[in-house]
Amino acid sequence: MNTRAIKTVLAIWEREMYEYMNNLHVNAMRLAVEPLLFIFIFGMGLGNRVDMGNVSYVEFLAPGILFMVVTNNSYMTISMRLMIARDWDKTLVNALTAPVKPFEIVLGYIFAGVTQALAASVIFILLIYYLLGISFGCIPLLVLFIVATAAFFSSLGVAIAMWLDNPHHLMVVTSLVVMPMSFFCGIFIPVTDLPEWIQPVIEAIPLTKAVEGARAIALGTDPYLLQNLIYILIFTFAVFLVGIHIFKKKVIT
Amino acid sequence: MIEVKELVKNYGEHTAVDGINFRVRKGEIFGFLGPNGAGKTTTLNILAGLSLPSSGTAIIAGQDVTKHPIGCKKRLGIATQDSNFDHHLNIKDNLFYQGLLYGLSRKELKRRVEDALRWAKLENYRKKRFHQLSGGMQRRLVVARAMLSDPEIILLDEPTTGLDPQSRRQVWMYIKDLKEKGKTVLLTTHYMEEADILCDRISIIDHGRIIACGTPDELKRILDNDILIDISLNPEVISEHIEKDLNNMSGVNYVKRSNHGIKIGVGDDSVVEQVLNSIITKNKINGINIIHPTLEDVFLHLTGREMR
Repeated sequence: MNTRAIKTVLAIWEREMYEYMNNLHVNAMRLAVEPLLFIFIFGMGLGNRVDMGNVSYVEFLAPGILFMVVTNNSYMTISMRLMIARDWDKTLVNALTAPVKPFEIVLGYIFAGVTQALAASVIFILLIYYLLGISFGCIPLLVLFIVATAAFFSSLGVAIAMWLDNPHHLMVVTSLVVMPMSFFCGIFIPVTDLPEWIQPVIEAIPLTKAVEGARAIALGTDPYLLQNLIYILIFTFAVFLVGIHIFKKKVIT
Repeated sequence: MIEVKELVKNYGEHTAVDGINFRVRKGEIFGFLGPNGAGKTTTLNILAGLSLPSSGTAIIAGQDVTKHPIGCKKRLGIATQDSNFDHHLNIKDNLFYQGLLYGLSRKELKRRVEDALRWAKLENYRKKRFHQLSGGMQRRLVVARAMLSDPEIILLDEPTTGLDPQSRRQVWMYIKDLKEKGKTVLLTTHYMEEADILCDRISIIDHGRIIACGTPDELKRILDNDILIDISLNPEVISEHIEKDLNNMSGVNYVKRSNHGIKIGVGDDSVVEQVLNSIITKNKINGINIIHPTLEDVFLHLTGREMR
């Protein structure tokens, strides 16, 4: 990657972050309020009736909700922003008329998704720590999982946004694919509590590996941290390549 | 500066560009004139690297656009037909973030953004959003944005479409200024008058094919009669003698009697004066109308129909 390519990636990243900061009041509401609602309603309300053994339900739930935050702040924002850039204000075409390569633009969007997910995660971790006294364990290790998962979901956001021609379909895909992922991938209930036939499918989804990894870091329950991380990174790379392929196909006719 | 050879672009069964050839010289305003759907924007998109040709070549400053897209884009500024500005950012930020993609230093870029806003006379609107500007201001801004990287070649896709006549004339002044700054301009338009006034040379394109190319005057000369002199006078006073004299005059292509007088077709402006002198001195004239042929007439002549 040469200097020009790095400058392009940073230019796209900076622009996306500038927009993000311009809408900080809206983003802050989403960052703080939404995950806390889940923690309070499910964790502290419903959670009092759930027996998780030697940990409280809210302690079990917090690492899962953290990765729901990561998903929302990478997949949702990047897919929406890219679709707006392509179909609504059409700034994507304009970016492509500059001396840049398509994959540099994609990389810029993914970096922005990772940064936004990381910022949202830090806010969530601090809120949960100071409000409920729940710790997430080794933070540097957790950050690796957050970055890898955010990169995966940002790449998925690129691939899906560019694959779909109709903006309305983005909501359908989100409702039918991404939302169920949140419910099944071990965020609210352990994967082992799901029907046996579906468990291998759920275990194969990178989000499950991320939630299990985060829970292991917080609660010390899973010894396969490195394997989980590598698994997520392999999927990230594969989805990134698919995203680039669809992006090129759609923007350069 | 731009050389296009046997360029073809197919979309499935449909051929949008059908083996076109043209060359744009350094420092000229070259017009691509044709109706909607003629293949103008497709050609521009290929030059801008937004579309790949099905066959043929497009060369910009010696480099093939498909083999060296980055090198070609460095020399290009493009004002696309869609305004494509980020509606959430003000116009200054929009220019800044577009300029950032050209790898300029921040200091240099900020200076160029201010220069571009000043050039487009929009320096007092820098905090406005794009949709808050008038149509004319928007088009000026789009052209100014194309100049941010100080490119040698500027591509303008339908730069005045949808503008009122006053705003259109204003944008023309800015396009002429680009030429004065030494830029090479390739513009597409479906306005005959625009092509006639702005362009040094014009290619007329229809159904993906170039059907004529030349200066506006050269194109008008394709027609048999350059200038029509329509003189209103009492037809009864036109003697056969006058008609014969006119027909014998060098440069006169035809003489026809009309309901209100006489119509004379002549080759060029120098003959007009001669014709008028010969009639005015001998007759009482009610009115004179001198009609120069337009590119519309040329298009009609070449295609057998008016521009769609």
